[in-house]
Amino acid sequence: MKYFYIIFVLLFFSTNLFSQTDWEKWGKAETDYTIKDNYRHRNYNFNSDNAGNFVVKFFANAYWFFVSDLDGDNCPFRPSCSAFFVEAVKETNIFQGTLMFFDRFTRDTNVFKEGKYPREKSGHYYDPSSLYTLSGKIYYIPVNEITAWE
Amino acid sequence: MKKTIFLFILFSLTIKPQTPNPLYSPENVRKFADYLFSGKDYLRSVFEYEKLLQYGKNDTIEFKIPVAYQLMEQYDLALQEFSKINKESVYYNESEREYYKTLLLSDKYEELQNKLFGNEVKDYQRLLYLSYLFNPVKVPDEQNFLNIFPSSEKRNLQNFFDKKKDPPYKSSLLAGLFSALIPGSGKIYISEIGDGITAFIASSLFAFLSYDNFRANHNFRGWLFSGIGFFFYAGNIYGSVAAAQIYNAKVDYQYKEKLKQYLNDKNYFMERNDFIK
Repeated sequence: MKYFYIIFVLLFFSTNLFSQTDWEKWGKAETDYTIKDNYRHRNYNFNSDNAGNFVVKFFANAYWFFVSDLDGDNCPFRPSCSAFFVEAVKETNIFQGTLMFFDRFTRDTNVFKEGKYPREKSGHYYDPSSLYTLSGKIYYIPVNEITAWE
Repeated sequence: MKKTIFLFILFSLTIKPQTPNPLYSPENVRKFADYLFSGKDYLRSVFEYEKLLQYGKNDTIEFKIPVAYQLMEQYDLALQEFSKINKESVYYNESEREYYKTLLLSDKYEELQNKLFGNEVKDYQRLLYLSYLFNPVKVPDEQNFLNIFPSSEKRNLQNFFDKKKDPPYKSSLLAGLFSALIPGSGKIYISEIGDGITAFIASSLFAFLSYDNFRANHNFRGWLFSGIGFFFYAGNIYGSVAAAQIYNAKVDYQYKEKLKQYLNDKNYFMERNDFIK
């Protein structure tokens, strides 16, 4: 009977043996204070549905690798002009995509962009290629709305 | 003896269990739910109201739950809960009215029109006519439309009706044609003046560079600048057509937003439920 009580008491208080330790509770957190930079998280793969997309992706990848990534985040738009071109060709075809890109490039050159495009949290102008495909279905986003593209 | 004391201490906790917390009494839950509702914390108020329904049926709470969903813009849930309210409820008429209003809010115009067509109740006739202002296809007869609303509001509604009947769209075709004749003019036509001037400068610059290089017998550069210039020119025509479509989408969006704001201020010309604060 004496052993029964000892076992009972041990079992009853056994939870204390596995309680949270101070080390776990107050341990130093590994925090990364660097700013998340999605800009350089490019999709460099060459997966393409057709030859046109492959050519465009080849030039876009080359531009990103040799110019854009070294030059820095200078395009005021999201998606950036080169990413817009890749998206535009994917959504339409190489000819229409090229026209969409030249139109975007002209709009990028215009210095008076303020108040014309909705902005992202990062401050970039949000201007997706889906608005320009002439499909007739436009999801209009008001200028004063902040989008969450990233 | 020791064993008895030990066991007594060990099990003493179960002898005096915790009593129910008075904070969770139905009266206090109701007060808390009303407090959340009046503070526009509708989601949590629904959670508390649903707790109360476990104690028994209550018409007010059954009505306030879908109203909270409606105010949260959870229209499908609101419709589901409004349709559960039966004829014995004190708020049956209000819930029916709110059900139709929710159909309008959730852009289910055709369903609303099918359900309310031929209904003689004035509130419902107004909702039916208001739904035509949102519907992209049907436009009702102007006089019938205006006569159903109070005369003090006729001027505002006439404005909305006119904009619905003849929206201030810009023609994609004209925008494209203008840009084909003078680069950038299509963009200026749709009020994108900066883009229009930039397109004009870009196209003109490459045209000049091409001409100048051909004149100087630099044929390769001449063709290169011609090619780039062509894409700027064609891209601008394309962009003008696209920009006209975006402009028209903006017109539609602004019309709907203004109309929704106006109708919301007027509570869709329906009586307000004063007990809902």
